[in-house]
Amino acid sequence: MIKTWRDDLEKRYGKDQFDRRMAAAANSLTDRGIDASWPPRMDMDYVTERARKF
Amino acid sequence: MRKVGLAVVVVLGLASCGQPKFEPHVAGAMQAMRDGDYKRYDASKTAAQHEVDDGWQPGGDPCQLQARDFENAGALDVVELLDNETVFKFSEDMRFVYTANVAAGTASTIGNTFTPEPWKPLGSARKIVSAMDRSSPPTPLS
Repeated sequence: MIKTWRDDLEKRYGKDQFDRRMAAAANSLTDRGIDASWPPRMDMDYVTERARKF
Repeated sequence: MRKVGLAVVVVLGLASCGQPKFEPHVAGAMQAMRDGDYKRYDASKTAAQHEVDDGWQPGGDPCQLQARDFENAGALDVVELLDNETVFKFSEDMRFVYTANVAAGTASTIGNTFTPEPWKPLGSARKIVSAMDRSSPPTPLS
């Protein structure tokens, strides 16, 4: 699901623009107080801890 | 000993799944996030909660616990991660990055795209694992 979504966005924007836009989106989320990064952190200790705080 | 037994059951259950399948309520919740439709997300969350409520409950007979109960609890955990109504109003790029950040590392969403470290149970799934730790062993048949 996420992979399909990612592929669709990447196809829409092109590879270079895609990463740039996602990084900008992560910054916008951070500006609104939501912890986000691009690329997302995948280590499970971080993901689990984040989910428990949620 | 029970922990080892439980781990074996979980590993065998997951191994028998072959290609990871996408739980329908998780798929529904993610599609709703993609579309920015909180109402549809909420319906998926309610449906996922019903599945958990209808399944095995902590304190119940451990022999009645099924792999499906773990799947349902894990699905509800993933669906709940997306529960932030404000985010549904953001741009699609932001919704995607948010989803990738909160849910991409969890077992039910990864499919075979990523290979993160071993799954760690969150809220609902953790309740089942904790209950199994506390439950008395099944009475042997005489």
